Amino acid sequence: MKKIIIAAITLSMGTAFLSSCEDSLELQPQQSLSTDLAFVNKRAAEGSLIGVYSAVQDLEVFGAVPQSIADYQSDNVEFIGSFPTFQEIFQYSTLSDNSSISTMWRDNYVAILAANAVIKNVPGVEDVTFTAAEKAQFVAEAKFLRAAVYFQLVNNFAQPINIGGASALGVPLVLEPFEGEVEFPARATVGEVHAQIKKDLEEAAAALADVTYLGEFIRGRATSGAAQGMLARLHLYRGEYNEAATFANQVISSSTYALAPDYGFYNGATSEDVFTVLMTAIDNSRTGSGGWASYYSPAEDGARGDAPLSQNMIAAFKEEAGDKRFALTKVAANGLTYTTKFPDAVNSTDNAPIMRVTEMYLTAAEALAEQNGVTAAAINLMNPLRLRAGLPVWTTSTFASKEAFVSAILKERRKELAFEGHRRMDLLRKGLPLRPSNDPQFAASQPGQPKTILPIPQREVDLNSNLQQNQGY
Amino acid sequence: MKKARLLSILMAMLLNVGFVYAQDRTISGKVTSGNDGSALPGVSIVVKGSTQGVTTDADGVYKISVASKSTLVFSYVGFMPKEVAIGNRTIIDVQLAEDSQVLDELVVVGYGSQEKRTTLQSVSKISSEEFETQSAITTQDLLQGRAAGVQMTGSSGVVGARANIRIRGVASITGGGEPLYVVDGVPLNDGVYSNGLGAVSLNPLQDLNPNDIESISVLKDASAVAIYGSRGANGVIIITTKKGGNTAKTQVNFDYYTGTMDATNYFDMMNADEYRNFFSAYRKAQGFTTRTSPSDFDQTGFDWPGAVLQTGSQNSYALSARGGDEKTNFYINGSYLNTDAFTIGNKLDRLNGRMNLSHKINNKARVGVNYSLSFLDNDRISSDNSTGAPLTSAYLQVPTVVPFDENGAYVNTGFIQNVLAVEALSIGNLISRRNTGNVYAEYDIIPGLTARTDFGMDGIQTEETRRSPEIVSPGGYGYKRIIQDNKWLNTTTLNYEKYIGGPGGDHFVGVLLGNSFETSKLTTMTVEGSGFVSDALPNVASASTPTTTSATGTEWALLSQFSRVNYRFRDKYLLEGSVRRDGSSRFGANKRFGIFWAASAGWVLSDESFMKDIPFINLLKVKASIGTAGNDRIGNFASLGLYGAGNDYAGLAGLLPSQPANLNLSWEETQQFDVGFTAALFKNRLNIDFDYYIKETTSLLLGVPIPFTTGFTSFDQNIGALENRGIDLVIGGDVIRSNKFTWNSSFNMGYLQNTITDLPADNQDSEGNNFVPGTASQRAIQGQSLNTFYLVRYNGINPQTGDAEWLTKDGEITNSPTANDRVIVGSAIPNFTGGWSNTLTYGGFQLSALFNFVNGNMLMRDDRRFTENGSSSFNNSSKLNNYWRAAGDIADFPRLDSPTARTFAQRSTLQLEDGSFIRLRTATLAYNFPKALLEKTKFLSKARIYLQGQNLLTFAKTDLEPEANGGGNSNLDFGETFFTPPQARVLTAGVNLSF
Repeated sequence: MKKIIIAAITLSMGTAFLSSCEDSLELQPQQSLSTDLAFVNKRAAEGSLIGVYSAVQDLEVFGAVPQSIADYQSDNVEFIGSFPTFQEIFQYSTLSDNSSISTMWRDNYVAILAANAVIKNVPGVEDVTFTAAEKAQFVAEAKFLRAAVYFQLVNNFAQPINIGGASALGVPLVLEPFEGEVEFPARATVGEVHAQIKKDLEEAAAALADVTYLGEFIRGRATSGAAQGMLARLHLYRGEYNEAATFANQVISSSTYALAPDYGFYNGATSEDVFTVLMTAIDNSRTGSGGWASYYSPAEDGARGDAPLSQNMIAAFKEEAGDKRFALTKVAANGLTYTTKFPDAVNSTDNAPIMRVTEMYLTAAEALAEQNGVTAAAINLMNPLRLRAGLPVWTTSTFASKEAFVSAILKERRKELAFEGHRRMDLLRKGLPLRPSNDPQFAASQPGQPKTILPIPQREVDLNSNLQQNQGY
Repeated sequence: MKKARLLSILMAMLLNVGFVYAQDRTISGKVTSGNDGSALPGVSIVVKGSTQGVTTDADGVYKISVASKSTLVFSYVGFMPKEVAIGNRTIIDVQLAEDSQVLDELVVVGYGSQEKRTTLQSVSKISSEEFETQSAITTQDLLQGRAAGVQMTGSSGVVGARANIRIRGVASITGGGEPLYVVDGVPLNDGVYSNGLGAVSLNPLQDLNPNDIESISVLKDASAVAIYGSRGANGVIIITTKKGGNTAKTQVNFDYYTGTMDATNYFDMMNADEYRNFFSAYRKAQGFTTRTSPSDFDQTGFDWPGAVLQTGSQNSYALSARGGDEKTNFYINGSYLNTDAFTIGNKLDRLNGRMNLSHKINNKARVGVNYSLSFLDNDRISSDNSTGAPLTSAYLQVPTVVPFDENGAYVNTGFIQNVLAVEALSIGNLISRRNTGNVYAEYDIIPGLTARTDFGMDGIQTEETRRSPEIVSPGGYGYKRIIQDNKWLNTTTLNYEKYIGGPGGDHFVGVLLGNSFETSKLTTMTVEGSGFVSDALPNVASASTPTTTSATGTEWALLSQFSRVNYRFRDKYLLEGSVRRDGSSRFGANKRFGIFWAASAGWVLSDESFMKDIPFINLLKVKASIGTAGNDRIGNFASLGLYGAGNDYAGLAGLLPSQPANLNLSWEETQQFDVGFTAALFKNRLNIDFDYYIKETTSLLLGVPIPFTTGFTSFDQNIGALENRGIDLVIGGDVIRSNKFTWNSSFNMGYLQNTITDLPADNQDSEGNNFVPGTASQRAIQGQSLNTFYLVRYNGINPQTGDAEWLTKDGEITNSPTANDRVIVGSAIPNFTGGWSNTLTYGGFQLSALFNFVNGNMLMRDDRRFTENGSSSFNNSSKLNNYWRAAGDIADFPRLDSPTARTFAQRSTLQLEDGSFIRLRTATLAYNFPKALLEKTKFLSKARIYLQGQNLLTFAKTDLEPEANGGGNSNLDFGETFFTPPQARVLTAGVNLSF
């Protein structure tokens, strides 16, 4: 009997001990919040909005990979690096399983889906300290970021509208957050994607009109000016010069922005910048693999040194002697010339120069020239840039024709905005080949050729049978 | 002094007084081996029916006081026990017959041990004699080729690399495939405690000391693993460490070996002249206008692979003592290992200590402790996909690049790092400290009924330090991460075993009841910074810009009840059932508890009267089992929808969606059916173990890949099913058994057929097959194996045109295949794996050889996309010198001006090779000094010297290393390599001494 009691005690002690452990199975994560807490109040909602900015800092969003990929396709840089995924883009032998392109696609949609969650959830946040105006601001900021990312996607993965028309295949338009139901969206047309971008930007421009930020966030967060500038770019790419000029002039006339007197503004978040993605040493695009400097700076700076200036780019700078923008380059240990716009390869603190007011001058001038030919108004927009570059000013008699003028503006645009993610689309939207005629890829780089745009990642085509692959992949 | 002696005599008298009355005779004698007549030290001699006993000394001599009419039981590991009635004798010399069969030995199973003769569980046992001379760095190495149905792939030649172990195939797609490791009852933590550095992270079990291991049990079938419930589906590996014993004399052992290590295999790359000639010709042919002549290249040259490969070394020292008396037994071991690998900069130093102690408080109560501590310092290298990896970079570095400037200082070589500078000037090491052990108490409540409670812990702390110098990262870069994973658990069991009607009764009943609670908390601390004044400042504190300051934590808990019931009738008809209920914090609240079970039955045919007369059959047992086990290897909070914190922007705190919710997420359940037999034939000279199994996993824990347009990469669901079907076979025995010469041979083989039987229909390929993408080369396809290669078929270089050719999906020749031309071209999972071990003994000499083999698998050599890529800016394989020049050439590279020369390196079956091989894993020649000689030394009781080679011979279909797995532990990335360092060829000389 005694022994049975001992046995019973042993087991019951164990059981009592263990049942006190049942609660120990209720554990919560320590570095994450459950989804319902992400929009529980204003503070959390703001965190979720800031997360979208963090997502666009990403290397593959506004952190230099999409921008440098576009440069490898065009004529500003050579690719001398070793990474095969970039190499095949440079050589116009891109395949659909290119992992850099796949990651780029993924990370752009991560940012879009995070923005969608803000747009959907913020209006319903119940927090008395969270004003309607603040909610509208958060939603507008998310819409701006969503539009900027969709614009980048459609430019890279679809034929430009001047080549393929509005009915060409764009990218899937996903406007709702992911809540557990997996969708398999088909590609919207370029026209539909542009319409959505336009709608988001117009709503953002209106909602952000009275919003001001502190310090560098005037340029590092979405503003009405940034939305107007992005609308100017959209209309320019669409050949809608009247609207392009209107929006560009709205930005130019804003007191928030001013042409910098010299080229010391890079990475400064100065009044030269309309929208820049801020990068600091502790939060940046790097995530262990790089930032703007990684590709554009030479190896001895701790970078990959992949993208020195092409001979064609150097020749463009040398066309007019004394161009101060050529001084923004240096000859590296390997004898090749690199830009100095992005010097920090160690901590990747170079801000992403998404939009500068200079672009608005160039856009306005080009749009005016396209509409009215050689006019004083357009010349006057260009001369501040010429002077800043240390080059002689233009007069209405400098150019014999509208075409010569537009071509000269484009040349200025190339030199001004080099390595900032513009060149490829500036060529394609004008129906120009991406490579010069002496380049082995001249034929393959003609507008409309398959490899002037990127393949839809093979993984996505494999997973989503509604997705149609681009021609030639 | 005098007082002390007096006191001790008094004490001894007091203690002995109880025995003096009962004992009236002293028996002495010598115990020898019936095989060779040598003295047997450490033989246990017990008076039958009592706990009184002694052991023989080093000369095999014993002395015991007994009552008259007693019977003495002599027992010794490896020999048949013998009972001797003392009669009137006072001197009894005994010869013990060697136990050539292993059927009476005990097999360690979950929460206990069973006799091999009557066990119903499918367990592969590996005992220390099989590997005691193997210079293994990690425990998993010991499994290779030694257990049927266990595939151990040495993933990399990097010291301490994570091994890939699969027991009876992979039972999961994304839920992890590693077995559960249990050491002396403590399930080990085996998380990721180090950074990958270009490839897989380090082996989480590299702290374990192979020298401490007495035996390894690999639990395979459901009847064996169900008792481990939600963690049993991938099999369980139970490691039992050495224990003390009731020996008259403490046995002191010293083991030492020293040796060298070399790479078994490496790429043959172009030298500088070949490089200049090939690339200038290639560029000219491709229409480039620069660097079209060899003279346009730097005229320097350097042999990078030669500079990073070296002959490494290995030294191991172990000193142990084991022994004890009737009440207290102990085993104490201290050991030190150092290894310098065959690539520069890769070293390992390890110190291990262990103490196992057990003590009898009285006839009913026992307490004990098993405790090990280790310190490990691993000087790490990057490998595989890293430009700072010595081997990878040495292969890819252009051979005209030299590492030094004219003054002999290191230069920055750009994207492909100057690995000589990296290894000379950088710090990259991992320090690991581990405390593993348990304390337990046992109490015999009534004869046969034992209660046991056991508190265990496994605490691991790793400290990873990286520091890049100015030459590698301008300004310098520093990193430090400390990870701690601390587990504790309690297990309480009641165990009842009884032959009803006393020993020899017809009915045997065994009942095990238990419960356990186990929890582990993992924390990390990371700091990172850049901007150092000098390379001489190693710590992040000296960095001007602290880029990372992070601390994280996560935890899990598991609460379980379990039971096992055994019934045997006349030890002939065998039944067993087991059940376990697990509750885990990892699963959604609704699905938190799961029940796992197994039932098995067996029949010892050879004990039936109709078989007893068949003289050559010593044992024939048939058995069958069915049951379930689970797999809980998903993230700790995989069921919750999450927003990850720390997604900040310019100083503002941010959140980003990190995981979609699935509140119904639960166990992955594996049901296994096993049928088999065990036979011992011809006086136990031939032993056969055969098992056929069907292992079906349902409700797969699948990170279902979803389109990136959801903002996520995958979505954890319980969906899909897969099946592993196979045969485990072991045939072993003494081929030759004579007085002087024996040849023992054992062959084991696992046949495995892995098939995905069900997948979600969301992802379908162009043929309408459901699949889950793995890597760019392989995927899991329904109806095929988990690791099915899906590639464009390469057709060779057309000897007439010099163009490379591939095949379209329809088999037409093409020069420009697309992703739509991919087809199924093989599996990375071998059909057959196994080993063949042989031991030849002649007098004191022993020659042993272990072969292991792998057959029927394909290996994707992703690195060949780089080494056979004419248009790359890296160095290339010297094979490319054989490019197509004229019609009729059988070439290794297309015509240089062919458009296919640019696309030649695209992913295709060009890089896919047959992965089958047979390897002489170990070959050992040992000499055991004769006992007669040792007796003369008066202090040595055993002495052995040996020479051993590992990986001396390899027969493979590929010219390169066949045994490589760069994907580490991912089930969806198996059998691919990207400059994975090859296995080491190790030559060692060693000595084992016992005092």
